[in-house]
Amino acid sequence: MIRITGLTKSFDRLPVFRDLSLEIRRHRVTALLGPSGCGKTTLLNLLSGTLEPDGGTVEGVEGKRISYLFQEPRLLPWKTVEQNLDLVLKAVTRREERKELIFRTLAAVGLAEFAHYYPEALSGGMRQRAAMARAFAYPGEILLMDEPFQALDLGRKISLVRDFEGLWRDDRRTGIFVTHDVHEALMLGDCIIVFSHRPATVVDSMENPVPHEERSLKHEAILNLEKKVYRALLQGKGDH
Amino acid sequence: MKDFISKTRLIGFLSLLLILLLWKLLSFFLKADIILPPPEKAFTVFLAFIRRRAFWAAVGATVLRGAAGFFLSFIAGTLVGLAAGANTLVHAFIRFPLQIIRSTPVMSVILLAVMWFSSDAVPVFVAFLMSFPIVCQNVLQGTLHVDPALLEMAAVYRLSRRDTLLHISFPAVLPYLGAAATATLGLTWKVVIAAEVLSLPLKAVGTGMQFAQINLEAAEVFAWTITAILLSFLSEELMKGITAAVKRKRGGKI
Repeated sequence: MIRITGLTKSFDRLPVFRDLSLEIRRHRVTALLGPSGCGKTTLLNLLSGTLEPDGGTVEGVEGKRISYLFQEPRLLPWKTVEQNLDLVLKAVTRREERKELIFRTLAAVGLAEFAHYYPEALSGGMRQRAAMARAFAYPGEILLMDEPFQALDLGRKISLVRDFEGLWRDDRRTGIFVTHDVHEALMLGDCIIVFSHRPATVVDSMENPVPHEERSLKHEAILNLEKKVYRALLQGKGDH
Repeated sequence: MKDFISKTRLIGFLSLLLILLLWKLLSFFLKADIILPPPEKAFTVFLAFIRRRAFWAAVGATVLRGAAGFFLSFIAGTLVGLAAGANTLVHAFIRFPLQIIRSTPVMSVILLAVMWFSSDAVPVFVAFLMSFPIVCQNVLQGTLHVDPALLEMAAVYRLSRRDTLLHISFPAVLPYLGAAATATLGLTWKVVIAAEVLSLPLKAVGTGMQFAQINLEAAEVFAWTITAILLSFLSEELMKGITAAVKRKRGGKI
């Protein structure tokens, strides 16, 4: 369990979180949904340790390896796809296992034959796939995702969500997924936490009753959940 | 595109011919070889030079001095530039000395160096001192332009400081180093030969130039000048080749 208690964070005296508390269960994907600028990315950065809170505690992430799928691929342009994965893996994986792991993960996202390509030679969707392969090849116990499908068109988004599902089902690592797209949250989140405008508070936390394999936007339970999510988002707007 | 390249080459060749023509006309009207010899005389002297072993010894020694000054300034400039980029205190510490070096006239540096060092070391020292601030400043600029998003990625995936420096910071600085190399290369030959003219090492292009001037052999001064121009041209071509090879290795990025 990742437990956030009494979290406070401000930027230039502008409060992002004021006494925020929430719990995130392990081996599930938790979708954090909320309006743009409500502090979702800040929360991920607090969890990854790249930001320090002003107050409160974050338990359950100490000393844990973290994979991070950013909004942009953040691949090194002077390294090939394989070299990009190898760089983050070399401190945590033995050399003899590394090559096999890299090619297996790249194959899972359909990029095995592009391993020796430089990012510039790939399309936007392929680059984000490579970044996803890096996040899953890295043995992070927690996977943080910051709107990784935001910049993609619908077709690429659907294809990438499918790749994500396939990789995630293999190890079911704890995933925390930030988005402001309700459909993405419904398709990927086992739990959906809706935030209000900043200073962000938890408006509602909802369980997704449909298992990953059966999820569809036409599924009745998903449609009901969608209504609840929109209601929570409207309530979040009304709170401020 | 091919037509365009051949056209620009042709225009470049024509401009060279125009310079030679002007030179020829001026020398023709002056009628004083001691001041301005005709181009064919300068080239004849140059062709006679290249048949002499002493000429190649002088060119070799000048090349070695230039290369030593160039590489020393590169190593020191890169290290200090990286340190200044990583630490604001180092940056503040070097800002004033760099400003002083940049503002000091080359001649002052040469005259002082002649008093301090052996004649062989003077050109190396001067080349080093003139190139060092350029390399340092360029590397510093490069470190300030390292993509913070990539550094954040490195921090999240817990890349070691060594890996971050080697695989993220240094490659990001590389284009700035390339620009520094291009900027300092031409300067290096100029200051090395100027320093040789005043310090008179036993074997040197500058020494040859100075003796030719003392003996009022204008054609020889021109022949040594042609040598200096060729040195600069060949080293620039070599640098272009190195830059292209690095670019290929980095997937078209530099």
